[in-house]
Amino acid sequence: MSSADPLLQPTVRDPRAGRAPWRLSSQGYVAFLGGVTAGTVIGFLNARRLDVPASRRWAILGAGAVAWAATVWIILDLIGPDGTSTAVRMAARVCAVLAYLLQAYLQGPWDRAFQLRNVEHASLWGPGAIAVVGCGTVEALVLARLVAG
Amino acid sequence: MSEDRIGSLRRAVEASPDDDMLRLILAEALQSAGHDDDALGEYETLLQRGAVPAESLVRVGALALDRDRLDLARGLLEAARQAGVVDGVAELQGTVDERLAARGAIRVRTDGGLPGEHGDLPRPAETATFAQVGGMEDVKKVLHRMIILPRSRPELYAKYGRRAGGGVLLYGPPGCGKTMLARATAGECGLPFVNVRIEDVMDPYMGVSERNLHAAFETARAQSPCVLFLDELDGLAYARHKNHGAEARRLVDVLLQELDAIGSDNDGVLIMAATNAPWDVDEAMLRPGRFDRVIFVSPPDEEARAAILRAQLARTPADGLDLADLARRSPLCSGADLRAVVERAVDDVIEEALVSGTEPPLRMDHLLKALERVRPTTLDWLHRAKAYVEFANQAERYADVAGYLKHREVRRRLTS
Amino acid sequence: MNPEKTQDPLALAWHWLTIERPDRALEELDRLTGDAAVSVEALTIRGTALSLLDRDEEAVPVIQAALGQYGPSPWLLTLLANALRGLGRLAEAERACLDGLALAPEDVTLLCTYARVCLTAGQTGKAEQLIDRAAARDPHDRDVLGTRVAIANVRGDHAEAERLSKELLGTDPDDPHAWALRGATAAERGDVDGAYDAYRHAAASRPGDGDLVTAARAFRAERHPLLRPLWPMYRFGAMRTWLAAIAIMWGLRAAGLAPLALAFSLFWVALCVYSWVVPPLVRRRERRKW
Repeated sequence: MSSADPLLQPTVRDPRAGRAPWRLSSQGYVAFLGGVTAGTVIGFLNARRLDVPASRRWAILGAGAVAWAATVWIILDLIGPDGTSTAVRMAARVCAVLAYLLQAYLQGPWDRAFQLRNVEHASLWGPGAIAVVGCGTVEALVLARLVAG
Repeated sequence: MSEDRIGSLRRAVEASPDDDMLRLILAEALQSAGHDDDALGEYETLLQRGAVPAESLVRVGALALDRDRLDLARGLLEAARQAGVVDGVAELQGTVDERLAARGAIRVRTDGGLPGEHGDLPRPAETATFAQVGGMEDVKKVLHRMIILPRSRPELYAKYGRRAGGGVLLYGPPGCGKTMLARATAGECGLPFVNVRIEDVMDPYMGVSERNLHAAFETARAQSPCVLFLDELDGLAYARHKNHGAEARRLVDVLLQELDAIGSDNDGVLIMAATNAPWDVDEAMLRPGRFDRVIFVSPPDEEARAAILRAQLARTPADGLDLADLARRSPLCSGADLRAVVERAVDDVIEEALVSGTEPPLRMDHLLKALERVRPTTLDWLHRAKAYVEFANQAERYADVAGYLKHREVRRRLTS
Repeated sequence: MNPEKTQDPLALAWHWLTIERPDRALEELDRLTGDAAVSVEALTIRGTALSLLDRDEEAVPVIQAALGQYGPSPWLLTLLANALRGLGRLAEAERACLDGLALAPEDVTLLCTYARVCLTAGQTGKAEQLIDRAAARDPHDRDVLGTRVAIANVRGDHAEAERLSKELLGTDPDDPHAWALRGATAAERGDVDGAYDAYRHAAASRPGDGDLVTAARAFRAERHPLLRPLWPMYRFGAMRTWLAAIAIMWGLRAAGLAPLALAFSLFWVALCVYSWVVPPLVRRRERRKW
């Protein structure tokens, strides 16, 4: 039984088995505590788990890249070499949270669709902690070098 | 009891013939000593003065029947009714009726009509009584006051202007004796029991279900006085606001018409119903004049569970059973659950017999092991009832089930 | 009444099903034996009852057996698609929908079912197109409205979801599904009182539905006085609240009010810690309370 109607053509794939996505709200804490890189890595991985189309996944990475560039620009041009470390940290956090907001927005419909499947979200404690410590350290070192340089 | 003491009591009563307490002690002493006829003489005097304690009326009535004092037994029976005694009255009445029948007396219908005048063969009065329902004293008392007492003492209700009648809806988990209680109520009233089950009514052909329901009411009216019992009322009268099907709605309409006795007369038909899902019953059923009283039949209490276990194990070879202990350990079990416990335990005994080649008796450890494997089926119902009480009990119609859910054991089982 | 009367378990099972008592329908079906137990009618009623009880794993083979006997039927294929969707077997669910739509391309229920399958798979655009087609046939159909609410919720258009859920409730103010959808919509908007009220209505109507009862209890817990300070967070959403907090901190510093900014930062951190620690404790306490 098949139909010529373009709307009635098969388009659905079974969701990836095994790995449930993480809660979008939990990703905000990772971004706030770990910075743009940690938030973007977690957001990108989560988008894969949600089966978000590739274009949106690239958009998530793009949002991260823009936030990185914005962070560097704010630190170098707006705050300058005389800025306090608090100002640098604050700038990094603001950019990370703004990036997270955009990334969460991009994942939103797929996350809500996932909730229709009556499956629990996975815990972000482990991956989130790794991202915060790992990516956060790297990002801090890079930013410190930029400020020093 | 020594004859000396009886002699002393006799002398004391002769000295103070108006002292009812002394006469009662003498009567009991005589009965204990086996002087039943003398004891009955004293009881008769006490009865004339209305001084036989309510709790002794049925026991003395049975003694009077044993000694073939039918007149005294009937007097005691009437006194028991007047005193509102619940337990044992129906059996005593049954035995009195049998004796009367044996003497050639004819029972007449209380409404003065003739048996079978509606063309139906008259049904025999229900034989089950409250004595066959272990425990559940609160429910029995409510049923007694609502249904039995207005029949046995109509003048009391008339005096206070209390209108008798209205239907009674029993609700509670499945397998907890709602139907048995309804039967026993009919038995206590000495009335036939007309049981209308949903399978007697429902029919796939359009309009036939409604006709079957009407026929059930007609049968009950023809048998009047009788107890008409509608089992699974939620199936017959499913809440119309929840149901979009025209067929089920029509059935509710017909049931309402029958309850309101449009075009016919429900006098003498006591209407009872049972349901596991009172929240699914159409609201209109619960209006005054229809099912006035909604009574919660909880899972059997400890006493009831012991009685159920005794009945189920009456003919099983057993050794050292402590059924009171088993009853204590099986809270929330329905009668059906207890049957499952007994059956599993007996299965284990049979297995043991096959292995050992002997015929071991049922022991306590068999029952305890079986009990561990049976989960009370009432839990599902209680979970549902809990949700209903939590979110939809504004009218406090289900205050009694809410109270039951607060019991420590119930709370423990529902949260574990 | 008449013990000799031959009863028809199928008729009774159908009756229980029509009054949404699938548990009792299954009990009646269990009385059937032999060929009657595996007749297409019995299998259809059993499959529907299992599906209503969310026992999709058992429902799928039963419905497939009914399809095997009866051949393709839009109704059975709708049932099958719903059960498969419940199991997360979305590609098979789509296949069932397409098979059904090949027989009845304008079937509103099937179009809505297919739209829900697409929605669950994250294909919101296709779901919208399908529901538009269904609405062209019957714009006031309850299935159409219900699916539209679900689509609006997934798209994050909460105002539209709210409007549609009210419209759906208007068609039948006693429908527990409509109340549940309204509850979900209110929850998405962070309206704790509204969500509790809606789920309470739904749970009262269906005390046997574990999901509804759990949702009602969860929102009752959220109404606890200790959780009220977090309501603005729910209402405006975590994202907006974070953004506002950061903006305030930044603004205060920029205005030269560093001590105030510090005080606000401390307050914000305290509120965050509060939002992590207190809700689970309150929920745990509420779960045990009865």
